[in-house]
Amino acid sequence: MIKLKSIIKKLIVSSVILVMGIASANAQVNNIIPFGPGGESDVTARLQQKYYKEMFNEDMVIQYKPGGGGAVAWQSLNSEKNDGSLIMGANLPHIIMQPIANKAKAGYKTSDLNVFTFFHYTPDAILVEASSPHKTFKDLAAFAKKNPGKLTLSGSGTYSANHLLTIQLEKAGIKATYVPFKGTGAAVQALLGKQVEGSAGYSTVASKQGTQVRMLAVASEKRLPAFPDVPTFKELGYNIVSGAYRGYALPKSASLATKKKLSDRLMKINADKNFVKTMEAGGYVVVNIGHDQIDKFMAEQIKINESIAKTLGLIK
Amino acid sequence: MTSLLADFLSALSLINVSLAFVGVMAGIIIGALPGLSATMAVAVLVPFTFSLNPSSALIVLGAIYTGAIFGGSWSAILINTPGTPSAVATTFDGYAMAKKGDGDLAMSISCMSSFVGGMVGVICLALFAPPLASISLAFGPTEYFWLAILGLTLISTLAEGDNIKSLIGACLGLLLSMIGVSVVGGDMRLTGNIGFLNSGIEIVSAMIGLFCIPVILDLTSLKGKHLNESETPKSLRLVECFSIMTKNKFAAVRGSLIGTFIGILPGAGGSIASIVSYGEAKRTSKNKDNFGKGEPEGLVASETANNATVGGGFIPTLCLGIPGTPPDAVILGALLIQGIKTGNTLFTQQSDIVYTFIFGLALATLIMLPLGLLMGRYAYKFIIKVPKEVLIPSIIFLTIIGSYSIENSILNVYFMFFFGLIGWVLNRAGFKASPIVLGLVLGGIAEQGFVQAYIIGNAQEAIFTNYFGRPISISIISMILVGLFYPTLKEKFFKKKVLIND
Amino acid sequence: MIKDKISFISSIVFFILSGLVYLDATTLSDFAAVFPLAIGTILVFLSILLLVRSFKLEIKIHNDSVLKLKIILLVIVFFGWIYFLERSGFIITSLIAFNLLVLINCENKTTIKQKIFFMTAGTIFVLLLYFGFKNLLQVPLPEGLWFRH
Repeated sequence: MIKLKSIIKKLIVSSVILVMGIASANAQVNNIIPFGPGGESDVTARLQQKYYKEMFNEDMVIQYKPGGGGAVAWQSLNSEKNDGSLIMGANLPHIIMQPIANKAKAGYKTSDLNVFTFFHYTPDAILVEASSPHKTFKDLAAFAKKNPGKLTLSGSGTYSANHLLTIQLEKAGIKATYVPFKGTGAAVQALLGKQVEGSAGYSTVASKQGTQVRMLAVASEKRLPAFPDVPTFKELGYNIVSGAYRGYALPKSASLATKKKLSDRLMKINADKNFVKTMEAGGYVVVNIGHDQIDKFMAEQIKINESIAKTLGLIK
Repeated sequence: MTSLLADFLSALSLINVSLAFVGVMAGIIIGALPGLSATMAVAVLVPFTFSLNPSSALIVLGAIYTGAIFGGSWSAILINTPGTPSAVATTFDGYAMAKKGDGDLAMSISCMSSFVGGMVGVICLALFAPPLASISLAFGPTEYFWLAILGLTLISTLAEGDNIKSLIGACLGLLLSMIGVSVVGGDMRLTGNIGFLNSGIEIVSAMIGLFCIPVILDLTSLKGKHLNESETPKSLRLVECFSIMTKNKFAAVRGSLIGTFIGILPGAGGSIASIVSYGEAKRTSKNKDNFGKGEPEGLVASETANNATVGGGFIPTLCLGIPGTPPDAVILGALLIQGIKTGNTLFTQQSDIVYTFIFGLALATLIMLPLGLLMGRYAYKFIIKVPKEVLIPSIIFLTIIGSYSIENSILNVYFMFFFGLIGWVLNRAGFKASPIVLGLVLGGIAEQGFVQAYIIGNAQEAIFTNYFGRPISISIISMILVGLFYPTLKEKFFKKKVLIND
Repeated sequence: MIKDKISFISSIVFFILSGLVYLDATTLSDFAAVFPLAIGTILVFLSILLLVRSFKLEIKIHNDSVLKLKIILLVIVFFGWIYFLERSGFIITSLIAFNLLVLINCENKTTIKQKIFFMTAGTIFVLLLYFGFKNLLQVPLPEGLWFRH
């Protein structure tokens, strides 16, 4: 008798939980981030998540699928649902450089990804620690010219945007030694701990670290509103405009209507003044590349990155 | 001073206390499930925190974090599988105790140890955050390299009898850690053209496979129960637990300090803390032969260390904006969205948020003690009674759903399965899991530290001084040498003393 | 002649493994090759030590005896569970596999009544966790490729 009672109790509890579980599922779009939590892709997606819910009354569920610098997720995109219930983060230069650098090992081709929008980019930047003797980029460049190779710059990974920045600087006559670290956090740690002279990073590092670092130059077209005192590389005479673009892709078989719907929604978020303000405060540059401009934009980017790859010897 | 009192009181607000309570409970359950790590637990909760004010958000995230790190010990004790990677060293003695029939005692010890470690971590966060943060900055690639070497010398202590096989196991672990894209050089290494391995060995599925699969295979093939029931299943064995804790108070404090310290070093996490603390305890203990067979001191060492990394990890996170441990990276992201700027200004300009959070974290750790003991007792009683026919399929089910959830990929499940089979075969051939895990966890740190130190030293044209001339590195190297040669030194020194007395 | 057969075989295996590591290292750039070569060399050294030792002495490993049939069945169902997970969907595969495993692990003395009880409890457990993971933890468990239109 007692056994039956306890079984019934357990059944009731389980059914309650079951019902709760079923009930909490509703209309939503899954946003798969090809990296681990906490990075730029995650932070910007979370910001979008907030506005998405407010504007369209739908949940944007963020999931992580890290691995291979994004490759693991990108390899799997085309086997996912194509009805618009799933979008995946897409990053430049990664989706162009990885297939070039790793060829078949990358597991996907750039053309496999049905990218439909880019909504911001983080320009590359050179930063030093706040107490560094190098007050301006000119100081740094002079130091490098006098002591070629002695200028150590930390950055995240090899063949990443950080690494490519140092290569562009080398082409412009500034010979530095690039020290790769595992992730931006480790690279920034080395910078703050003065293990290296400077860091090749993104503008978002300057925003995150505040007064602990000094951004000496930024690789955007115009000065960033959050950092009006920091000159662009262009102003300083170096033709370096680069950074990491972030956007989204759908499975290849997704319909044009689905592409348009999602692209329009994300562009609408981009148009919100508060969204832009929060992004800019964090060092992000909002760009509005929707599904109608995407093909032209991607073609340009492929050309740019292929020429960099040629310099690196990755393509013959 | 009055503002501190105000922060203390606001931490005790109804919302914050309920958040701490719910957070700890949810964290324990999620941490106990293999495959669901503390990072995942925190990540799932982040969207819910947007509607909360910053300190409440921090409190609930911190509560879930600390609960999960403790919860990981449950599956470590009951099914030899670390629920979170930070509980890996808990399996060494926790499971052995459970097999002997002391599982409930192990659960209680783990709870108390997690409490002690967590509190020490929070206290260090509250009182010593800025100076500890500067110390963490002084650790560059060279120091990380020597620290990893120090950790690797523990192989000899973790070895049980067969030294050569332990060293081979460690080498295997080191090689496994190199699979994937190398940080320096960008090459794809040791993947044998298996695309899945491009991102390296995923540590959680590796641990599930290595620790849990052999247990399942043994369970299914051997007669007899899974765990022996304890003689007094009704009580929590609190008195016994308390006396064990006081007996091992030195190990508890040392473990907490080791954990806090490793927590402040970004890139090292709970898993390294628990292994290093365990190894150190075994090396210096009087009962070293009992380690691995159910020695409570080992359990204390492991669980104090991993919960101390919670408080310790918040130090670089809040002071420098650099995440101390993987869950901290998620929490940092959540803070950024709330508009909180981390860094040295956080403690001065927004001290209300910080101190309310610190009090809240202390509160969550406090709540974890009775809650953990109570929940643990029910969990233990329940698992003990489950018959093998249902237990084995349930564990298998958990390993599948758990390893799938890590990256939402079936590939990790396959990997967990095959790695587990290999682990079982190796186990039967005499190669234990602990050296392999040690190599796997420390390999990346050792290699990156070595190569980065070389590049920097080379650029400064001072390679030798970069490796051997830095003050902190010198102290670490001395610790390595002492650790390796202490036994023989002790003999010589002891002999000398006797001669003098004569 | 060989005192410790298992160590002998193991040493050969690890010797071959070091060879594979050396092979892979030839494709790598300087920096990336340092550690693999270093560890590979240590491994060669240790393998030779183990090989020599296997002729001289045997360190006994305490392994309990094992029921081969049950293990083989378990491994097959375990693998099948994973293999079919994405094809026939999470719920169906798990329910079938779980209950199969219950039956495999039943001993002779388990009554039919007990078996049914175990299988019902198991089914509830599977469903509970399925909905918990799917909706509370937002994990996208496989729906089943066979059923996709």
